[in-house]
Amino acid sequence: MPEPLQRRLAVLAGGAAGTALRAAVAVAVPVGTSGFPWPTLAVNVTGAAALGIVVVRLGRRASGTVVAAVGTGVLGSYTTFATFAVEVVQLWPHLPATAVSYGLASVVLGVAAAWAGVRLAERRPGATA
Amino acid sequence: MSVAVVVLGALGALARAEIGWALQRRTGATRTGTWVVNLTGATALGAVLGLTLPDGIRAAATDLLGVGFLGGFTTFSTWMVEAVAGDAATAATGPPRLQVRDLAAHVGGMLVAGLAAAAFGWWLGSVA
Repeated sequence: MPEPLQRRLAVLAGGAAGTALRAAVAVAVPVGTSGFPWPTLAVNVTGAAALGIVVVRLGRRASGTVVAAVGTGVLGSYTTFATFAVEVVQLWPHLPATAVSYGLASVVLGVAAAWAGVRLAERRPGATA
Repeated sequence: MSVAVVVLGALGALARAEIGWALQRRTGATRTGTWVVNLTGATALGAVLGLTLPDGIRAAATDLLGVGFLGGFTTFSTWMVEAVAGDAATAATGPPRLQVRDLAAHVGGMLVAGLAAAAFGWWLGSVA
């Protein structure tokens, strides 16, 4: 059964917001002379934490439309895998240490953030489980 | 940031959602969709940036496709939540099911495959 139109619109709206937020972070957080992609790291780690919280707290209580808007839409678009992967590849020939530290920091902090988000959301009263 | 970038990001998100919903219906899980969008998206962005383009066009492509469409199409957060909770949809229905081996496989696997995809895309763009 195809998804209802409402859910698709929710993803579009959330996706627009998430993209705008990510673009705003790129302006606010400069890459700087080191070449380390701080803006992408910032959105990916904060987005992972936020999605951990959202999936647990909204998963059963909110409608599929809300989850589509906030989870799939906003946070799915606020974070990015393509830019992350290409940044590592672009850094590797000239700044291999930066490429490795950026790649590792992203996944280590990303996992920690998602885990923290899920655990935090599980603990507070009002979590669905 | 421009309206075009935000609109393309929204379309990328919808494309990701459609692929995800279709695969979730078949597999019962979110991660197949995440694999598909992230690997194709990384390849595509690598290819776009691997091309030799005049500066103005390169900047526009980076904005519209990199920040815009592929930024919305690919996702880092869903990957991470799947790694720690097994699935981005069922995490809501119980305590987080952290399986360390599964986490390592999902993180390591997508990291390696994603970097390979981006590098492959870059090469494609550079020889085009």
